[in-house]
Amino acid sequence: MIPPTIIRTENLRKVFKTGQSATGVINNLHCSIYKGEFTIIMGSSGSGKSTLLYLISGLENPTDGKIWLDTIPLHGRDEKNLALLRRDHVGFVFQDYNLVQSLTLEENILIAGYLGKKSRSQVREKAKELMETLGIGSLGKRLPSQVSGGEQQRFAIARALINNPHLLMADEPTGNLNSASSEKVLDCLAELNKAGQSIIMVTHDLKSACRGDRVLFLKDGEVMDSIAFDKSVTMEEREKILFSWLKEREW
Amino acid sequence: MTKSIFLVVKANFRQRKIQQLLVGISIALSALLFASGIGILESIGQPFDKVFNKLKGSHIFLYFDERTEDYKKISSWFRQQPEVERVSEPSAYIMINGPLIFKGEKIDVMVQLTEYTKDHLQQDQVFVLNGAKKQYPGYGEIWLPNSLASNHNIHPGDTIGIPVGTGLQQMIVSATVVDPHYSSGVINPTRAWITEGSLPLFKPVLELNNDMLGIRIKDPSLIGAVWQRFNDQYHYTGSNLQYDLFRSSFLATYTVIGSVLLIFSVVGILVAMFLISTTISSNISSDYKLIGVMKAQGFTPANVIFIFVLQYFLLSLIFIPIGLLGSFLVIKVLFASLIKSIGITDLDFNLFAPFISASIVVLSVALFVSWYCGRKAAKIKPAKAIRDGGAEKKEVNKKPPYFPAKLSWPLPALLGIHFLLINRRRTWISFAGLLFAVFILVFSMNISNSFTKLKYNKAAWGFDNGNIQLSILKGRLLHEQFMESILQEKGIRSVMPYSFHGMTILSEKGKPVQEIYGKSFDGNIDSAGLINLVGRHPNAAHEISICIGTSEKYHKRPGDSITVFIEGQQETFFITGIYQDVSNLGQGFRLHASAIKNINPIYKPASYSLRVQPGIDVEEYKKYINHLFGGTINIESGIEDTIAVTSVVGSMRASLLLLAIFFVVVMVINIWNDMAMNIREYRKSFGIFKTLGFTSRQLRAVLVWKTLWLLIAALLIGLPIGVWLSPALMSMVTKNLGLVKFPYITDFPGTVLLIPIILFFGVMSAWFATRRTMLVNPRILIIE
Repeated sequence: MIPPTIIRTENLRKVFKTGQSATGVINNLHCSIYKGEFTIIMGSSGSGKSTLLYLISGLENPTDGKIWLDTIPLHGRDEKNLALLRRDHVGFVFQDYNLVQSLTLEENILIAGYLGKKSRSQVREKAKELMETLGIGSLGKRLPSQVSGGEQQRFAIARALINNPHLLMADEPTGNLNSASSEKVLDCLAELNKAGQSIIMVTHDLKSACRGDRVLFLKDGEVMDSIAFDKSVTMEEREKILFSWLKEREW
Repeated sequence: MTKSIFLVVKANFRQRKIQQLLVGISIALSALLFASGIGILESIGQPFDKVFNKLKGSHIFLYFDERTEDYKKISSWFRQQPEVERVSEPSAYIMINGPLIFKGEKIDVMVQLTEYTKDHLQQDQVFVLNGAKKQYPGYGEIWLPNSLASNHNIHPGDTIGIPVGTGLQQMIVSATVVDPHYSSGVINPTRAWITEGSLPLFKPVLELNNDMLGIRIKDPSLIGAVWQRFNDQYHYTGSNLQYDLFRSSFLATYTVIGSVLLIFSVVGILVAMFLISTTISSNISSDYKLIGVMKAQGFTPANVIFIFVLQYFLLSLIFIPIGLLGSFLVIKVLFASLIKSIGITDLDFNLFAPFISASIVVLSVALFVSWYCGRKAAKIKPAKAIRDGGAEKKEVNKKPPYFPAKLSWPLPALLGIHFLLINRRRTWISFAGLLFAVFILVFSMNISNSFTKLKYNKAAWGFDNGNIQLSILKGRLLHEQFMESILQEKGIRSVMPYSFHGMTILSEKGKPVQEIYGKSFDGNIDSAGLINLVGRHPNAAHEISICIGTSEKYHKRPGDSITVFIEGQQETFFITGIYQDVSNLGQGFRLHASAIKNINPIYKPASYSLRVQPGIDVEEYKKYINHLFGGTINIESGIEDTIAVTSVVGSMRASLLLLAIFFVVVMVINIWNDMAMNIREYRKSFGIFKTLGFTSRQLRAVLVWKTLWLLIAALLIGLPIGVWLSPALMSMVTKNLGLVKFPYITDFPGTVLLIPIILFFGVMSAWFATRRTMLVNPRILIIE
């Protein structure tokens, strides 16, 4: 049985205009990403990964085509509606964490929570719970610059999850981390996914990509192909399979 | 290289049009305020001096009784002094103590009625402003000083009554003239001119003993030396009027306006300095990488500094002239009534020196600040700037800026507080700017109100609190009859009879040093509502209270005694109090009528100040009193309704309005600039917030709240400080006018009304300035 989709796009197009020239970054993209799935998006530079991330998270409007988040259409919405949608349904994790440097780590989480519908005390409770779950409970009073990159990224994950989003987006979450920290962050994401959280992660890293259930390969603004991993396959085997699969697609 | 620098400057102008425009406006406003302040203070004397010299005015006037002084000896002494240009022939004069009567109304002023002789064509000419341009007034005609005529709407062709003995001598006003010595309208007595030989119309020949002698000095700075020598070598018993007094009387109001503008222009320049410095700092931080690239391409540190210096030099070059033009218009408008009063029809001020000074000061400030702040850019290391794109992060602040997470206020309000605390130095400076703006708005509002409400606070200005001033016509009604009738009126709360007097202060050696004018009151002076700064009113024949200017000039305090010539006799009075009075620049006295009665037993007052019962319509009551006493009394208009007072109030209000507008504009610029810099500096944080689900409106609200908190703090502190400090500040400026304690009336509703006005302008400025937050794109957060 095919699970319900968390993201669905139809004829998605995004064209950037510079002066009189127009560049199509996403071209008639069709894709479906399923609920509860840990989806990886890969592709070479300029393939449209980041733009796709923007479009499916409602940060930008498509030039053409349609997008649904769960059953909610994102296309044709004004900026305010998109912001409210992001607030309630989408969580973001970035490569360089993007924590507000002047706020403590805990406050970074609270800010996002305060935007949501929960009461402030509920948000504080939830933040504490998330910090405990992610193993960063004792660091909340520090500033981002006072903890390691891995710890910052886990706070970024906690912030992304504070409003119980339908979808967690991670853009190269391990790109700035050493391998030990990367492992911890990926473990966190895997644990969350295991608990039912839908995750879309953009990555260049083969090892990270192997943590996903399915990999979408983007080329010239289209989903060229995708591959799903069998749950029983080990990480080493996944890496080999993925490497040869990507090689075939001139990655 | 110069061409390259020009291109960079041009690009900077193009890229930051609004920001540069705002800084430019601030530069223009600083130049406007500063140039207006110095322009007024420097130039106000020019029209006066021009007219004074054109009319060959005397710098010293001697008034004496020809029976006690030999004018030939005095003239001869002065003619021998090398500093003296000319000594006039003596002119006969009389003092008219009773009020003038015009169209049935009383003009309560002392008039020195002087004969205009052939000699006046050589010295102390008057200039006919309106009326027949004749060399002398005709027989039965009178020339009035323009200040007196315009204050009471008297025109050539009108007839005025001058009290003579028991009746009135009617004279035709054939001209209104410019008499520089009496041009201010605030000196009482004033002078009027009649033709030679016509004084006997007013007084018997045998009583015409008063002579006036004018001495013109080559250089006004030598007056003091000549006068000192005269007093040392000559035992003079008459009185005198000197250049400094009549000149400063003429300039008094504008000196206050100029001083106020000058004081606040310093604040304006500080604000401009702050705006330039914060703008440059913000530009450096946003162009950090670009500056690095320029340095990599061969720009030296000096070249980089020169970019900023040139940019603000050009900006100053454009906006300082705009400010100066504004200043010219301000001065022209403010001086319009003033120059008209002395007969100048065109504005022929030489504003070159003030404008050059203002340009140099404002330009120097702009260049210095741009050089000083530009040095930061010169220190940028190209490799680091190109690699990192920003300045090296300073050591992390151990204590994070406060975020009131536990408060249940709207999130933008909480973040507003947080953003205030991130850059505390800038917050303090912004706060100081807003505090100044609030202070000056409160100052302008309340000082303006104090002038406008003069009639409700007359005692503090030195006037009595009577609602109606009138005089009885001698020979038609006796003092006793009037008092008996008026005291039976139920609408009357109190009646204070009074009269004007002149007295000459004598030095310790018995030499006359100054003629001053004052009033005697026949009754309990407290009931006239008059007040003292210290001590009490005189209530006995040997007591006197003196005005603050006289007190300071002669170092006399309550408890001291003062020896004077009054009503032809030498008297020594015990000083009971010191008061302030805006008329006569703080020189004057108050006596109890018993003092005059002691000297002149048949003395009767002829003027009265009536205070009506609360709730009575004063204008209606005036009509009633007029009807009641028929043609035996004259009612005069209140001091607050005279054109002199209304024009001073008008000028002050216009200047204060200018000041208020300036600081509202500065406040708007300050906020606008702060917002622009915040948007640039916190672009990344705003991108993060946008990703988290903040709408553009919420992001704008964060910065608006930040401004709002600052405004609230500035209002909470600035309003009470403004209300508390404004009178002290204004008193410093009006001290020389005779008001050591400025008669301040707080306009509570107006001050409270400032709160929504300031909040409205502040919030609107922040709201419009933050519209660029809508353009913040979270794309900046993604590393491609």
